Amino acid sequence: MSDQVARQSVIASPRPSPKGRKVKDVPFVELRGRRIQGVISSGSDVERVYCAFFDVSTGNFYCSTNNNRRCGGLGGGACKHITELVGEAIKVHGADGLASALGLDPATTRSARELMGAVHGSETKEPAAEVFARFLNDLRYTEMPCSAEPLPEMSWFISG
Amino acid sequence: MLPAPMLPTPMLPTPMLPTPLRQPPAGFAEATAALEALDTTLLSGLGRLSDAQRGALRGLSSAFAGSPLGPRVSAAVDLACAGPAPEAAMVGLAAAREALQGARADALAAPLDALLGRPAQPIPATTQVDAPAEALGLLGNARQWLVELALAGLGQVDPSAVTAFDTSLGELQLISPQVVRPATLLTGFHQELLSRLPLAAMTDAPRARWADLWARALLVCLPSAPRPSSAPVEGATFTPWMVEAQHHRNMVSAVIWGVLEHGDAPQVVRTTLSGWRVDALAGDESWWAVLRGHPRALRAVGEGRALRVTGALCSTGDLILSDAEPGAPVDPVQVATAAMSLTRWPQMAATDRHPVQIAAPVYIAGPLTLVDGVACAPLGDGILPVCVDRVSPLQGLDLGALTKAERLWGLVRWDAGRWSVQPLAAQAKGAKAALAWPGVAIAAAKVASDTLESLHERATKLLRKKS
Repeated sequence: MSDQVARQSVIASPRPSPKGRKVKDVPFVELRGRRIQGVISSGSDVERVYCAFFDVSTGNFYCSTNNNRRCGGLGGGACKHITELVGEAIKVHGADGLASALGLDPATTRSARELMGAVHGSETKEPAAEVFARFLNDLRYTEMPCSAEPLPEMSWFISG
Repeated sequence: MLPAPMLPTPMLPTPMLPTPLRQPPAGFAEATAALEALDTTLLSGLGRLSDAQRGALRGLSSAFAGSPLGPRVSAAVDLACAGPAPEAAMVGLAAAREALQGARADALAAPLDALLGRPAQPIPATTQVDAPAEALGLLGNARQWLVELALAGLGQVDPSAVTAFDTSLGELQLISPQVVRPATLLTGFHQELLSRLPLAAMTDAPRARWADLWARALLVCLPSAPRPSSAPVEGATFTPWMVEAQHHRNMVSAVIWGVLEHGDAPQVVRTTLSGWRVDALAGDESWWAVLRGHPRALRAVGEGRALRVTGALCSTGDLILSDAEPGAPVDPVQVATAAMSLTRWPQMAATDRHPVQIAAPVYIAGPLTLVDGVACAPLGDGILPVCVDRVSPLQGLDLGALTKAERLWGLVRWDAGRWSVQPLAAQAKGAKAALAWPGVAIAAAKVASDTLESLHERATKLLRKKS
């Protein structure tokens, strides 16, 4: 019955609010396909950020500055930026939510260490441009004009 | 957690419901079956129709025979059956779908109005409004994207076909506020498809929801559309009654229901204040997406004050604020009691009629009852379940206190064949009177949002540097 109702329902259930997000350290994190990607602040330079990803199907990862300089912390394994990024993804989606979104066993999504230990991949270089562009796109939302118009289309949305 | 199908509200035995809501309206099952037939083809793709699906589409066409939409639907079905359906055919199918939803909404609204003693009102007047010239190309891109989604099938489209729309969508958002309606719907739909695709199984798809979002998006992206007509309001008193949070990942709306003293008699109206949201803004802080653009109005509401408003009142009962000054403090019980006795209420515009738009604000002064562990609110000669699955975390509502509630502020809703009350605020027995918008009150009590300030600083450094 519940499947049938879910197919008939036009409302998606609300997601719980993340607890303890460290937005200053990890200002952007998102899922794309089976990949966790995002942006981590540099501890030393406010104009520099690290762009990183971790692919849960291959275990592959990479981290570089927005100017494509390879992260010095990558030495045969993931750097602390990637661990931090994966940890924030768990906070945003919750362990169970992340497991269902990425098709993982919920037993492996309780911590960044467990999640990253469950699949072994290797450093795979990718340009920072795509993740960085997604981040800049997200930042625009802090500046775009607000609206006072009726928006009937928002009646479909009480989640996210 | 990602948007997942809603947990069903437990179904109460029919005799417990208020009398007017016990029987489904005549013809309702047939309209629902016609929708399901169309939705199944949208999910699996109009580009590869089986013979059974062609038959179902022809059935849709004959259901519309003799109606004003008849010739258009029949032409659309012929084109879709002949194969790959062009944009005009898709618009015809979307219009058929919306007409069926409109008919269902009418059939549901009538018994609800009867139950609440709210007299029928004239159909809201509209005027045809053209999209701004600079948006026409981007709206065309959006329609083309929607056509490709439907050809491939909403349930099995390749994620790369979804991301192909990223750039156009970003540009469309920047043209807002003139095209904020298509921009916000497309943003929410795009985000939801990206986070859910690829599906493990076709049955995982929220079929009716995605078909709704698709059809609505296609029609709201047409270059010209009817919009409710409006008349100016100056210096009228607006007393807030309750606030509903509506939001997707990148937008937050405060839908503020209240009483407007304007013209010959006070009436119930609603005003919607919205802002784009950066994803990291979560929980109570989410309200800052709205507070940053409407600080005076939303802060005054958060402080529990009435507003002295200037703006425009639409034929639908939607109030568009252009300015608001804080007024006298509000007593939430008093305003709720007064509002319940009024006879003029917001109405759906003809082209917005849809069961999802049924939202009847109610104030229930009486204890909730528990039926099989489900809190139920008394209404008329029966009860309705309180739908706890529909509570946004932005609402600031304590679900634990709900079962002990003695007073409830909420919206009567209908979804997936069930009536329920969507709770917005509650007051437990013996508790001190609280505002009917706890979430807004918490956010507005702060001077600033740390998250927003930190990200704004990032934006200033990185966005400027890039350009």
